[in-house]
Amino acid sequence: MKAIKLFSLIAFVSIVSVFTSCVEDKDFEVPTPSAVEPNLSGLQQTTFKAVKEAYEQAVASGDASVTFENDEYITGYVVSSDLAGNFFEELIIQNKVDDANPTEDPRLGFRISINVSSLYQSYDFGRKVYVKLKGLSVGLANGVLVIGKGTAVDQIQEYEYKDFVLRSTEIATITPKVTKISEVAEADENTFVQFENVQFHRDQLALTYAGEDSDQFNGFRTIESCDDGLTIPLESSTFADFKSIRVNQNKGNIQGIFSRDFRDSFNVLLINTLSDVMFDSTDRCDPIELDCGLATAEGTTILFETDFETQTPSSPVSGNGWTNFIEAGSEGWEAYVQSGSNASQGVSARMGSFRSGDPSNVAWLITPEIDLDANAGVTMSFETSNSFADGSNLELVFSNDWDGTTAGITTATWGIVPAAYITQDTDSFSSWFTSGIVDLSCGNGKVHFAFKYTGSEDRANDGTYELDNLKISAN
Amino acid sequence: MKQIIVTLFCCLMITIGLSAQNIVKGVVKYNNSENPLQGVSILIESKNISQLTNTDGSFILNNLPNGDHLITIKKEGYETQNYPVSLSGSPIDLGVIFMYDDTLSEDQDLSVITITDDELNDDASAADNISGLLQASRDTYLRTAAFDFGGSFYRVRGLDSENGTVMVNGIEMNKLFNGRPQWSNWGGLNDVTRNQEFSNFLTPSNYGFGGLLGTTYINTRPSEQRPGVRVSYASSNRSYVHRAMGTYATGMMQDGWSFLVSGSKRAGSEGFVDGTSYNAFSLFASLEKRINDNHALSFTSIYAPNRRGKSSSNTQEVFDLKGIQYNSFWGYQNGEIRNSRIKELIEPIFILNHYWDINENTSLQTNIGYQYGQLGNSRLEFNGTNLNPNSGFPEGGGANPDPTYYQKLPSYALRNFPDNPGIAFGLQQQFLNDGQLNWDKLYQTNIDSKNRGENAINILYEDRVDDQLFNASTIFNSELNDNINLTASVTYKNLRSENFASVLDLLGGTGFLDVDGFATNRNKLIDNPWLIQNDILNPNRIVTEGDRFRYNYNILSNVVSGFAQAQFKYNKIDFYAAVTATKTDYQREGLYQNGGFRSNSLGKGDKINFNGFGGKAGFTYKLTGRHLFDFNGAYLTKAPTIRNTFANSRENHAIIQGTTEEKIISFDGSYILRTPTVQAKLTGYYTKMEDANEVSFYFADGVSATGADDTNFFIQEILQGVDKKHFGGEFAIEVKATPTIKVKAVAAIGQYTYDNNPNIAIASENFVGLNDADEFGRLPYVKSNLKNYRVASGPQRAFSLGFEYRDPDYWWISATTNFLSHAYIDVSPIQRSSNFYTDFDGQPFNDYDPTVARELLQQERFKGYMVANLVGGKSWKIDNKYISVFASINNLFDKTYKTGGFEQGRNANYRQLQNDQSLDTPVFGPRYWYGRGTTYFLNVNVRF
Repeated sequence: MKAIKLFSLIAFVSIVSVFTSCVEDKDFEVPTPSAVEPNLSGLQQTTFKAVKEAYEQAVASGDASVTFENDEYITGYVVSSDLAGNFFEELIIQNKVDDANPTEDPRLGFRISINVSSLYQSYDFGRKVYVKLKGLSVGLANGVLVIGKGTAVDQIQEYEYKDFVLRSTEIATITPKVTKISEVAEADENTFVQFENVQFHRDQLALTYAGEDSDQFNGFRTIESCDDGLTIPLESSTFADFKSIRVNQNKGNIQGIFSRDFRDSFNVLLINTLSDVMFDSTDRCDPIELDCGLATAEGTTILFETDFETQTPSSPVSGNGWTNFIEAGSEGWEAYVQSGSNASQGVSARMGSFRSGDPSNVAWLITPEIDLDANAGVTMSFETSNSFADGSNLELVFSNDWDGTTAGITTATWGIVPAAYITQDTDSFSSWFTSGIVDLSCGNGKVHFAFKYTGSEDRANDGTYELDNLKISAN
Repeated sequence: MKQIIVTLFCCLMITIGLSAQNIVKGVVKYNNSENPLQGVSILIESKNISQLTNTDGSFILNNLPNGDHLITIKKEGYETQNYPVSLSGSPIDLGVIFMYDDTLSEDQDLSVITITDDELNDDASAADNISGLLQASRDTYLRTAAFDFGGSFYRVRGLDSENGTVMVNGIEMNKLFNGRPQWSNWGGLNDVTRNQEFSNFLTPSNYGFGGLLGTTYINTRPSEQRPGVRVSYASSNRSYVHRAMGTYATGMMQDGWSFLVSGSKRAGSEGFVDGTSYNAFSLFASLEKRINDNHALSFTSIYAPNRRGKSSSNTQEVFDLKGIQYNSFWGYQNGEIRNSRIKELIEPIFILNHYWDINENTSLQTNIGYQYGQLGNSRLEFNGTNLNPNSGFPEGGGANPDPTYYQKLPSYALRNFPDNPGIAFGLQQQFLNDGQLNWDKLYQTNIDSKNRGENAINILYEDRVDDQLFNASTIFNSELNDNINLTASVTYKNLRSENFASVLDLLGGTGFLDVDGFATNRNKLIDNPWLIQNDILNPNRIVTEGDRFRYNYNILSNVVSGFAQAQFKYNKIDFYAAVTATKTDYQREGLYQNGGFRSNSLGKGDKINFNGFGGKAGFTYKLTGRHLFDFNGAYLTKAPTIRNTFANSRENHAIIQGTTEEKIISFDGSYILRTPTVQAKLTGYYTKMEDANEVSFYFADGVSATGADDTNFFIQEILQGVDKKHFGGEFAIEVKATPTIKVKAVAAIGQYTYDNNPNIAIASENFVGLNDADEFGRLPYVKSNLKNYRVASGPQRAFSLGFEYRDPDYWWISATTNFLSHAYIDVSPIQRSSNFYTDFDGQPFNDYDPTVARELLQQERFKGYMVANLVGGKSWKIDNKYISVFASINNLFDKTYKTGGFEQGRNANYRQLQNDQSLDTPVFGPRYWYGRGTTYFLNVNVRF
């Protein structure tokens, strides 16, 4: 009996305790993470410069990369963000928060390759980080300096990256280096830069950042400077959140990471998010246009006509009222003769920067003055062909205010004549394409027309254009 | 036991001493209180004579033929007693018969009920458990299936629980959403739900037409509960750790009132599987007033909120690394286990009953039920975004925090970096050493986000279903004469089901931007900016805790049904016939205008109607009292459940094309042997189910949608017109070797297969606008070659051998050893469709090899296994208190076995599957569930 009573008591107590006990599965306290600076004692701090020099030494001695074996670290700031998916499994860090004192203490940047997505959750933009170098390597990949593992600078893996890249509690304000498309150089790779007074090229305003069928892995959109007309491609991932957004239609400033394209063929700019595109002015700097469309027939009065047959092959185009001017580089418009599959039409004119050795080639071929007021029904026609035009560009431009001097060419106002068809890189190299009968009757005043070539020795921009059978006529 | 034998001896003496008219009479009382017992069955089974005792416990059996008879006296919860009588024209008075508590079957019920507590809370089809349906059965095979096979997710005849109808006080409890009873709604109230009537398979029930598995009628009428107090405590390591339960019943009191209250609490921070928290308490209160001899009113209320931490299915790779108790859903937060997938069920039930005894033989029971509440399944969202002020479109997103995400496992590294085994090793070490959810990181990320002025990236939310169900029915029952019994009923149900996602916890962040993050990948976005909106009417909403988001719609449904049945009982033959008709309608009402489906997501969609008819009939032929033959057959058509009617109800109105009533034909035949020492039953059955639908959602790699710019999509897989064939045999025998020892053996062999090649369509929001797809983003139907694949419905073969020893000194022990085999994996229908061999352009793969394909598509059969269970109990009577102790040990020898699994649809085509399967450890290998190792359950019960 006693046993039973005891038993009942135990049962009662345990029942009461079950009823009053509580399994916590709902209201959890918010963890209060106490951010602390990582402990770096016992480690030697080194600089980006020293790391870069160590890599250069390794290259000089025939190695592709350098691997660090000492307990040392560098301190940097994260300037990339994969928040919008434009960066993938990588961090771009630079050694400074701004471009102060550039000669004494130049900016330098590295890409850290990590096999982890959504890195921004830990390494957000501006985050100060310490990279422990022991066991890591620095080498070149896709044209830029990369910190990774092994001689091939492979990705740092998910289970180890936290041991290499330690984050500080500090989030710095990053000030981009304000630079120009014409000035940005290799030293700026992997750093945060800003171009001012730029816009997307007028031909690409209908496009999205990287959502076109032709965009494979990346979309490239041309940013042009309103100051000098120079361009740089904006590279955006087809996995970016903003890939299907139409490019900004305005002009202004843009900031991002200066880098090289995947194949290391040309410079690119990469933005972190669309907020980096700060185009707040609707006042685009597009060239003025003379656009009357195409006419159905040419007039009978010839104002200017040439088939270049009187020019001397392999010599610069001259005489006949032409102004042949090299604005940049060593190449200019010349007469040439060629047979075979890429034949000229007798003597034709051409301009190309292939193997020019010039970082920039700009060449003009300017017609004599045409008086659009004095003549009625003025039209123009010509033929063009290309030989691997690539990224080089040939435009038909016009000016009402050119003074006729070579010195005045770059200061005159030049507009474009969009109705004239000029061959594209995608056209066959062997064929000649007509411009169509370009109607100029809606223009006025005394006008010079010019064929303006832009390119460089760069493989991506070193194309050649050919020109022939130009005719300007009136009724 | 001693007392019984003495009583029996007395009766035999009486029998010998009397003669004249063939009448047997007596009075039945409860030995504990010596109060008369009403409603006790007095049976002569061989003659098909039965009667219930009156309110004073008395009975009289008249007009019995001469000869030897076995009178059986039984009532649920009491030990059955048998009185052999020899009649030769003189009346026999059995005098006062005392009924004793049946502690053994009560204990056995307990263990079955425990299983239902444990298992019936998982949504995964593989975890569907029918044990609860069978607990009231007295059939040897069904009891074995419930108790001994329950831990293996064995399903009788391969049928899901939706094939069993469960009624509480006349109200059907099967959910319109999936047809299944939601056991947790009355879980932990075992004391008051023990009073059950079970009609197995097609045999007629007095309450309704029932399902293929039968009807379980739970009766909680306070007047029919045994008066007294009952307190119990249980401990287990299966799901909850502690359970305390108390019940008080007044029984029928002098003034005609009866009351019944019960409450329990079940709790545990984790069960057998890691991190599976259990938090449930239950309250029950009912009262009844007998107004006069003909009328009684009863009101019942049940409130049983239940919160359970769920467990993950895992690939073999994960089980190999972390063991069968591993669960990826939880992690520590401030030192406490926190499970990210909690199922919370709060659906109180209110039932009002009117019992009207129109006359001695005719009754009408009218029931009104109302149930409302919420069902929530929580999970993590890790793709929070911010609206870019420049573009007005979202940017951001995150990484999957699941520790078993495929990129975090060694197999991924071995597939992608085969030359660098160090990576696989590093991942393996990381998974072995950590391998749980990192709540701190989720919080840290959000806090950093907040500090930047950005939205939360990680949130905990739940998918909610808030139902309001009104239910009314009336059941008419009349015994026309001794031979004929008529039953008829009319039922009406009205459901309003609100479905939405709701933010539970911002995890330290500020708000969450409610947009469709995946839609930013669409090229069409530029001209269709609304595509990213979950609700165009409230674009770019920032939601916080408690807010609805992502999807929000109602399902409205009306069901009207009628049922009529006649049962005939004669000396040599019993037979019955029943018919039913049901009219069902479903309608979706969208509260959000989904960006992907602007014109067909908001407001009310089309109402879809189904008409179901059914009939069943059967007979029992009694060759002699010992040899019986039983045959049943049924044909019915029924509406598909809500789940299998709408193709993608979260986003649009789409109803599965070609949806029609499911058709079922089923018959079985049994031979039954009943001798005083041997009870045996041999059954054969055949069931065919046609025109069923199945909808599933998953992320698939390698989907060929001509014109799509990708092959990886989150898709809906719609399977339509599925036919299944289930047939097999069952055998059970129970031998009473000695008065104290019973030996039983059970064998069940079935074959459950797909019986056709059903239509399969895949659908995705991303397909809208493709040439082949319709306005709901559905591609045209193709065939899925499922015919002759096995249905994944647990072991298709099961054997059990066991004994039971019942000591006269009120203790007992029972042991069984069970062998289960022929369980199959759930096959992926998309891999059996033309998508499997179709390249991106609609042409077959160049390297498609049918021989290799056959091998790849071979269905996995799980290994058979032996599981031993041990159960025992003892009871004492002290003064007027009963104390009983019950303990069970399941899987005594800690056998490791798979209970179920499914192929991941992720490898949707030949190349994907071949690449993956060619690895030693596939990255997207099948996911499995394992059975539990050795577990115990202990219960102490005090009654007075």
